[in-house]
Amino acid sequence: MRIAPEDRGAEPAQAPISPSGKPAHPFYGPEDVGGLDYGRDLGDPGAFPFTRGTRAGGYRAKRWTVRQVMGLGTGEETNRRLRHLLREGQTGISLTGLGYASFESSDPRAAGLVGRGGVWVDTLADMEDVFREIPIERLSINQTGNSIPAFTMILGVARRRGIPFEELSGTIQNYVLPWGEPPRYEGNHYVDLIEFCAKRMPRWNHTSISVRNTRESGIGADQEIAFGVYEGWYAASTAAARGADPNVVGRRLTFFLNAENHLLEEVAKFRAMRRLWARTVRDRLGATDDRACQLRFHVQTSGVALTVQQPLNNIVRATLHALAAVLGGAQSLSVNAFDEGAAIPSQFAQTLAVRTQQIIALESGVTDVVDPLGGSWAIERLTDDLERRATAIFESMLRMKASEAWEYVSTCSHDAAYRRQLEIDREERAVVGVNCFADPDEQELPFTESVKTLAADYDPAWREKQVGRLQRVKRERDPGRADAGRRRLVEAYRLREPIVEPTLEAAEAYLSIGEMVDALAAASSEAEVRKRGGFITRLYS
Amino acid sequence: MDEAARIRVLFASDTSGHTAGYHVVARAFRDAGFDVILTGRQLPDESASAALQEGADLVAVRIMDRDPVEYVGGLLEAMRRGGIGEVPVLVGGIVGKRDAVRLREMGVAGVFGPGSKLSAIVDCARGAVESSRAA
Repeated sequence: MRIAPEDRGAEPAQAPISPSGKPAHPFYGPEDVGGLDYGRDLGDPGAFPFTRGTRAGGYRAKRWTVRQVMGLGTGEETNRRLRHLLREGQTGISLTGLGYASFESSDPRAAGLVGRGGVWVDTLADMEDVFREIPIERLSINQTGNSIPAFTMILGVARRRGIPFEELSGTIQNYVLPWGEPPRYEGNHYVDLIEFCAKRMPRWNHTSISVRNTRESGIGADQEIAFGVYEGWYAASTAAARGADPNVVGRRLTFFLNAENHLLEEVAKFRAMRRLWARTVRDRLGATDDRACQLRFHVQTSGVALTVQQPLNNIVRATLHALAAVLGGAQSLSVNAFDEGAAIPSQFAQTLAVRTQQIIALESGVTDVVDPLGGSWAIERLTDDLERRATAIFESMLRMKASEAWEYVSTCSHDAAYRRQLEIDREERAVVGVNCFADPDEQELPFTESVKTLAADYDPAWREKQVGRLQRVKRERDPGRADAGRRRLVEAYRLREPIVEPTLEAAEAYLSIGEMVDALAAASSEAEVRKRGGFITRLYS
Repeated sequence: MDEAARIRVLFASDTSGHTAGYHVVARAFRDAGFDVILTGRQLPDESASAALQEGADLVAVRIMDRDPVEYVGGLLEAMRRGGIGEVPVLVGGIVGKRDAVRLREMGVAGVFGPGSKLSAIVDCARGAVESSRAA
C-alpha cells in the first residue's frame, strides 16, 4: 500500500525547524531516491565520489582522532591540561591561541588578554613549554589559526628534538584569501605554506578550510557545504596558479566543519559535502588521483547551540552533535564541554567531553558499520537535496569576483545570526532551558550562576609570568643570531621570497611573534598595513 | 523619529573575530531606531575618544577574550578623563558572575550574557540613556 507524495499531508503544526530552515517531509519512499545511481552518486565506502566515506573499513580500520580544543594561560598551564587529556585518552592535539596577537605580552595592548582566549605564545621557548614531555612525533597536532610564526615554532620544537619535519603529522588551519599579506598581495603567504608543506611535510595538512565558525552564525547546512567547497576550491586553484599539482595539494587539503542540532540533516550534510567536493576536485581542479578528491574533515561540535542556562543540558546536546559527526564519518572530533558557553572549559567538563567520544566509540556500536544510515530513503533524499542546493550556491559564487564571494559569505552570516536570535526571542525556535522550560531561579543572573564547576577564570598572574619569561628569553638568546634573523626576515618580506624558511630561522633565533610582525611592518608601506588592518591575526575566522 | 531624540550608540569590542553576537546586537539597536556606530576592536582609550568625537549617548562593549574588569575599568576611567563619565556603558558577552557584579558596582548600566533577549538589551539601553539625559 502506497500513499502518493501529494497526499502525504501537510507539516505537523509543531514541526521542528531544521537549522537550514527546510522542514522535512513527514516520510520518504523509494520514489524520493529514484534518480540516484549507486555507482555514480554513492559508491561503496572508499570509492569515488566517497559519499559513503573515504575508507572501506571505516572506523574499524581507523577510529577518529579524539582532539579537544585547548589553549589556556601560558605554555605551562596548557601543557598541564594537554597532558591530563592525553592521559585520559585524547589521541590528538588541537591548540588554540597560537599567534592570536601581533604584539608581545609586555605590550600595553596585552592587558587582560594573556591566556584568556587561548594559550599565549611569544617565542619558541613558549612552544617548548606547550609540548614539554609530549611525544609530538606520535601525535597529530592541529594549529588553530594560520599564524606562520606560530607554525614555524612547532617546527622549531621538532628540530630541537631531532624529529624530521617529514615525520610530523598535523594540520594548520590555513586558507587562502583573495587579498594576501603585504608587502605584495599577489604573492600570498598562505600559498607559501601550502608549497612548503607539499614539499617538506607529506603528513601535514597544509590547509584546513574552516566553515565551522561560519556555520555558528546560523547559516544553513547547504551554505556550510557551499562556502566550504568554494573556499577549498579557491585555495587549491590559487596554489595551482602558482604551479602546484592538484593531485598533491588535494591530498592534504582538509576541512573544519560543524555538527549542529538537526542530526539527520547533519549526517546528510557530511555525505553531500563529500560528494560535491570529490566532483569539484576532479571536474573543476582536474585531479586524477582519487585520493586527492577525498573530503577529510575535523568536526568541532556546535557552540552556538549550547546554553549557559542549565549547562548540564549541553552534555546531551553535545552527545547528539558528536553522534552526527560519527555517523557522518568525521576523521577527527572535538566535543564541546558543557561549561563552554561561560568560559574556557574546566578540566572536569573537558574530561567528560573526552568520555563522550569514548562512549560513542567503544560502547554505542555505531562504529561497527560504515555509513550506517546510507540507503535510508530520508537520508539519501536529504543528501541529494543538500548537494543540489549547495551546488547552486557554489556555482553562483563562482560567477562572483573572489572578494565579492567572501563578502557574500559575511553578509549571509550576519543575516543568519540576526534571524536566528529573533527566532529565539519570538520563541519560533526552541532552545530548551532558555525560551522554554526555563528555570525561573536563573532569570536574575542568566549566566554562570548555574555553572557549578569552577570555570577557568582569568589569572592576572599569567601575564606577569609571561612577561618575565619573554624578558629572560631575550636576555639569554644569542643577540647576533636574533639580529641576523630579523634582518633576513625583513629582507625576505621586502623581496617577497617564500616566507616559511626565513620565519623558521627567526623563530629559531628566539624572535618573538611581536618582533616578526614588526619586521613585516618594516618591509611594508603604511598604506598596505592600514589596508589589511594588521598582520597575522587571522586566527578566529 | 525626531532627529534630536535619536540615540547614538557606539559599539566597541575587546578583540576581533567571533563577532556574531556583536553584529546581532548592533542590528537590534539599528532596527530599534538607534544610530549605530561600529568601531570594531578598540582599546579603552580609543573607545573613549571615539565616543567623545561621535557624541555617543551610550557605549556598548562586547567582551570575549579580555578580562572584563580590567578592560571595562580602563574604558570607564578613560571616559571620565575625557569628560564623558556620565555616558552610560552596556557590556555584553562572556562575563563571569563575580565580574558581572563587579562591573555593576563600577557603574556599568547593564551586563548581558548568552541567552539574553534583544528586547531586554535595547530596553535597558533606552532606560539608561533616558536617566542620563534627565540627570
